[in-house]
Amino acid sequence: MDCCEFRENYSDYTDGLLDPIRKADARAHLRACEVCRRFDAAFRTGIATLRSLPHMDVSHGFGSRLRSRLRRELATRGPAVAHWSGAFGTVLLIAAMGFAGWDLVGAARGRPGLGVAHAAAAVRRTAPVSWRAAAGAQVRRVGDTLPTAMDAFHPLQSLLMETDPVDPVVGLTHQRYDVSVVWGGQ
Amino acid sequence: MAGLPFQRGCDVTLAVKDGLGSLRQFAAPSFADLTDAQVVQAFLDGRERAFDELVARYQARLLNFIYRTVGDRERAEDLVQEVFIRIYRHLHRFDQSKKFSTWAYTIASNLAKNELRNRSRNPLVLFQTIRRHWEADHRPLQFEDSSSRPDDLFHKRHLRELVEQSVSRLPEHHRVVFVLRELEGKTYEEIADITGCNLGTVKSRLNRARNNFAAIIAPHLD
Repeated sequence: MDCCEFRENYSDYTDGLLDPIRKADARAHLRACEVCRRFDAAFRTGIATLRSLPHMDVSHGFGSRLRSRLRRELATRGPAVAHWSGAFGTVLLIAAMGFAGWDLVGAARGRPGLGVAHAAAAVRRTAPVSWRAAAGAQVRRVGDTLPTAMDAFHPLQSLLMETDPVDPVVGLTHQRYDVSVVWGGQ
Repeated sequence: MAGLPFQRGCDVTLAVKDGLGSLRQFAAPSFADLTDAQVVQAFLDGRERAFDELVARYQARLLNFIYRTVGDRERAEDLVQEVFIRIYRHLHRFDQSKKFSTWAYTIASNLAKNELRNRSRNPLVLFQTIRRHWEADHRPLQFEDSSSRPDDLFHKRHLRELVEQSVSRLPEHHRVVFVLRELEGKTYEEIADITGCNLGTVKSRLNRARNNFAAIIAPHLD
């Protein structure tokens, strides 16, 4: 191996990527060539020095500056997650309100009601548990009997809470609990 | 948004009534115990504080990477802010089968490259470079190691400055690869992902960067 070849393969040599024969060639060249030996020593000293340079940390005001920029970002656009969940929740809310209106009108005309509470409870089951917990509701396992006293107002109220895009971080979002919510301590 | 500053972890408990009516308390896992992917998922699930954890994990790493690439601390910090703004804005589009760190470094690398390109077109860069060197020359003396001899201290300081200058003298596309490998310890594959180059290009650039780096330093070590 000559100097030119050694330099061409220097990166692989440094990272230990040369096959055993090439590696032995490179070592033999290093032993024989003082110029390449000095080159190799310079590189290793330089890298050691570079890595020993003090690591810097962000300045004192970094966090507050970033936070205010993020607030502005949130105010103008909102994070995608909040945007989409908010939009999805709004659609659900409109659908539930339409359904409730249709159900109540039908009931007033003598048609048997389909049960707003049960429809809304089904919608609630799709919401993340953190939202339900954020609403301050009691949580029960799915399969428990829903309270019969739930009227049309309560499910809509809880839906409003569930579409709130601000999650106050209640936790356990990773653990999907099969729960349904009973609103207002009923 | 949570209170200042950006902090790691978040200890929360949730009280859940089980089917028998007894109250069970669950401790939410601290963000600090979660992997990057889990923290990202927590944020996408609507837990805003998960973003604080990402900032806490990456702010210093990205600052050092960008600083070594652009060579200007103040500007590097601005660019780190920009990285986090972009992460916040586009996290929902992040492909979660990939590593978050690679994505964050990709954004940082692109911003650093743009910065260098803008500078090369802007005559102000000359002034900034002169000012930076002036600041370095007028920096108060730091008493690094009182047990070392003065000529050793001088030699060490000289070597550090030399090494920093050697990095800044590397061509931009070589420098990014060099810093990612030598200082950030990224694998060739990660560097290829971050820079958007193929493995062959990464290897070739790294070899050239290492050769240039050694060639700049070698005459000063004799």
